[in-house]
Amino acid sequence: MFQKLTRRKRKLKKGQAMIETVCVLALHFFLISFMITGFQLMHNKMVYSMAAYEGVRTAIAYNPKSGYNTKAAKARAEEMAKNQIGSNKVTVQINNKGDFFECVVKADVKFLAPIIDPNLKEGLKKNLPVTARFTMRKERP
Amino acid sequence: MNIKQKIKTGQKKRFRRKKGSVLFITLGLCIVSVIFFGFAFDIARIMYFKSYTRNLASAMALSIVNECAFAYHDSVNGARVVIVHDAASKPMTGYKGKYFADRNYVKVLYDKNKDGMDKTYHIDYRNDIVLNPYYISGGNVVNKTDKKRFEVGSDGVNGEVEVHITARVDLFFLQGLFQKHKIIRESAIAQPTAYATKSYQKIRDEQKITFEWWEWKADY
Repeated sequence: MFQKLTRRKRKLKKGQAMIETVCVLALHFFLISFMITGFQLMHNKMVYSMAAYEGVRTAIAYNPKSGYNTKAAKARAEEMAKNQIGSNKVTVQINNKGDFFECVVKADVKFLAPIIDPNLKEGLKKNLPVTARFTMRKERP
Repeated sequence: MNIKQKIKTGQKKRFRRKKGSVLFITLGLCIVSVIFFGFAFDIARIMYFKSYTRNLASAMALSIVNECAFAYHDSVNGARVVIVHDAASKPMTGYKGKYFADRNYVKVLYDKNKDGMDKTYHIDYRNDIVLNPYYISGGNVVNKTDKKRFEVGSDGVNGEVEVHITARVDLFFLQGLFQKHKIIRESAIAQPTAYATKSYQKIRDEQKITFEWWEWKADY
């Protein structure tokens, strides 16, 4: 009788360890995915910022034969985003603003785990629009 | 009570004490993980803003060169370029720029690039953006412009412009522990070059940007 009770207790304790492990693992997985997502966001921002810079730098260059080449600028920014992030879902705009060119790189980035918006206004969400832009004075003809 | 019984009793007491210790350890680990994450995330943000500030400085320097550069033929140096920084700059004949390389144009450039700045990124364009600054110890600059560099830069012939930006970044996680803002200092130099062709037509070469680790090569 006594031995049966002890076995039951042991069986119950085995389940407890399993449940604790599952809880701890879930919490750790959440923390790790939160970290990865945060760094993913910063990496995306950095690359799109560089892409916008490269795009506008290419756009302002004046070629005496063909003038300003905004197509090459757009392609340059897209290529950079593609090579660094590996995604084609990036919108690049080259805006002509008088003496200036503006390059805007936009992307709706999907993350590994839901992240908290840096402005803490919209709460948890899966996608975050990342935008980078630079404006530069055109080279003179 | 013999020794065996004593050991058993002691073990039982230890097991009782250990109840819940796993949860405490887990909680501790979680707190450590969150602190580690906060620290690392803020460091990542600082790295991003350093890169952004460098690009912004470079964009401003190139814009100033494109707006305010003036190429002419000097009897001593040959073809050369100077950055026109005020109305008294020489030579002014044929200068096509609307602005001079001064605070007014810095404000124009700042306003043009303002939309691309993060909400947690702060620059006061009046004090934090300095053209051709004087350096003092520790990489700090004096908020005063070395006007000679607009006329003769590091190559000894052409003028150059260095844009030095001091930006403040709000920290998310570290502000309670260390400081509220992180100060970032970055600069970029743009120096145009010119050469005279056989027909004495003055043309300007591609601008050269000098980075610490990266040299621009126009391959398009």
